[in-house]
Amino acid sequence: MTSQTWNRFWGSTFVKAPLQNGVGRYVQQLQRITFKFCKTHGGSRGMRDFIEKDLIEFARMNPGVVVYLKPRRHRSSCLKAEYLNGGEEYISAHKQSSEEIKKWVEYLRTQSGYSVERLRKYQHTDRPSIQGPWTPWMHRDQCINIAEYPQEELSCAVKREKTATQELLEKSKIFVGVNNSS
Amino acid sequence: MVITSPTLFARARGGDRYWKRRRILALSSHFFGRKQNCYSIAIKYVHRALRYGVRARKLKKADDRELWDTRINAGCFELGTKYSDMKAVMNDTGIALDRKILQNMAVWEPRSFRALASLTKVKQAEMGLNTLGSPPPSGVVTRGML
Amino acid sequence: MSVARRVQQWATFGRMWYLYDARWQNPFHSADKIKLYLAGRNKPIYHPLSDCGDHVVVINSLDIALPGMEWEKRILRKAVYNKLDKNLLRRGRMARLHIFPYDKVPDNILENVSAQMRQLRPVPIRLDQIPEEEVVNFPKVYDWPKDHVIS
Repeated sequence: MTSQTWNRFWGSTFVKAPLQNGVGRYVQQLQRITFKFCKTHGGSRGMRDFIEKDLIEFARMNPGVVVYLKPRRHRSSCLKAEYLNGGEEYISAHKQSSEEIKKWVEYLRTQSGYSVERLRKYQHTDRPSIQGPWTPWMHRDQCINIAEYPQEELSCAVKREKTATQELLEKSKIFVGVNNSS
Repeated sequence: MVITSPTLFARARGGDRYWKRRRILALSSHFFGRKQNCYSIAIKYVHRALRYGVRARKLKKADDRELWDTRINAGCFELGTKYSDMKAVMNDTGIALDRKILQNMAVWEPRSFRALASLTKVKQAEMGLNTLGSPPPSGVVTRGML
Repeated sequence: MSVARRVQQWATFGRMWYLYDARWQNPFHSADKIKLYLAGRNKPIYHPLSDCGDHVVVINSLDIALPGMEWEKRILRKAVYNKLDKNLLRRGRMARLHIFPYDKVPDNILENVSAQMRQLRPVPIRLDQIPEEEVVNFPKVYDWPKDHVIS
């Protein structure tokens, strides 16, 4: 599957947290959770158990979350979560036990409200560079900033070996020096 | 993204054949012309697109590698050395950095990369490689000097 | 994007203007070098989709040194054009190449020049350009034989 097709239907994103949540302080992103269930049907039995046993504790531990209970006749149970950024999530709790629902509630409580998408990178940083990113001037001799162009020294090829002429001149100098001293 | 499936599910309660075709047509929804909506034409192009996708997953690795090589070479030439020399020196000194990390260093941590280039120049002089080049930079201490 | 990061962006993607002295240089080898700069392959931030190439100002293009009888065939601009990647970006990259026959460059271009590229080979000095005194004082390596006839 090409990335274009993937992005068209499922999208892709980077690791992110709303307003750097969790750095220094944590703001509860889950705002409202609605438990929908039937009072009589067996499909909602786990949900009824959860409401009897664990819901009070959940509401006490999370004072920032509004908890709604919505009994409705002869319909399957579900969870609906609404988040600070306007995101919503719906989870079907049909025929699930209270332990399973407990896990789903915990999942909804810790979500940010962003939709779940493929991550293009598994890490994120606000400061990708300590030393500062590369610039064209970084590794250059500063003399080029004030140089007058065109300049012979900056242009000429790097000299790796002496030419035969130079060698000859040097040797003749030594030769002359030896002759003079003797 | 608009999820059309629940709406369609409510509106058109087709059989298996209908949903099988929806699955293919969903993948062709960004194509042009009749290959977008006509199933018999769309399936041909969807299969081709999926084949391309399979092939591209392999090609991507080669493309990435080529790009990293270009970048590292550019960074090395700017500092007066070569990636092949750097590779030889890194192999000798046991610096285990791959292409991806090196190109990242060249862009995001350029001073560390420059240190690596200086090390290359000093060390290759010790190893006896490229002795015709310019004299190695000062200020680099290697184990061979101690 | 904050002001500091915006400036950082400008610095990283700033276009350089390079001066290249083509005197006594092989145009085909020079083209190999110049094409890297035009395409931006001289930078570690290179990406085929980002427009990060530099400008190259070539001077003294009349004084290039061509191997053999190449004089009759090609010139520097064509050499660079042939060596660039064959894609839609080629014309745009060629537009960043400025060639001048002598070392006179218009001021509006010269003021942009921010760095100079090194030549590929040393420029030879002609005998008539060496000062007279140096030629006379050059050490004599050997004598011609007495019976050697210099026409």
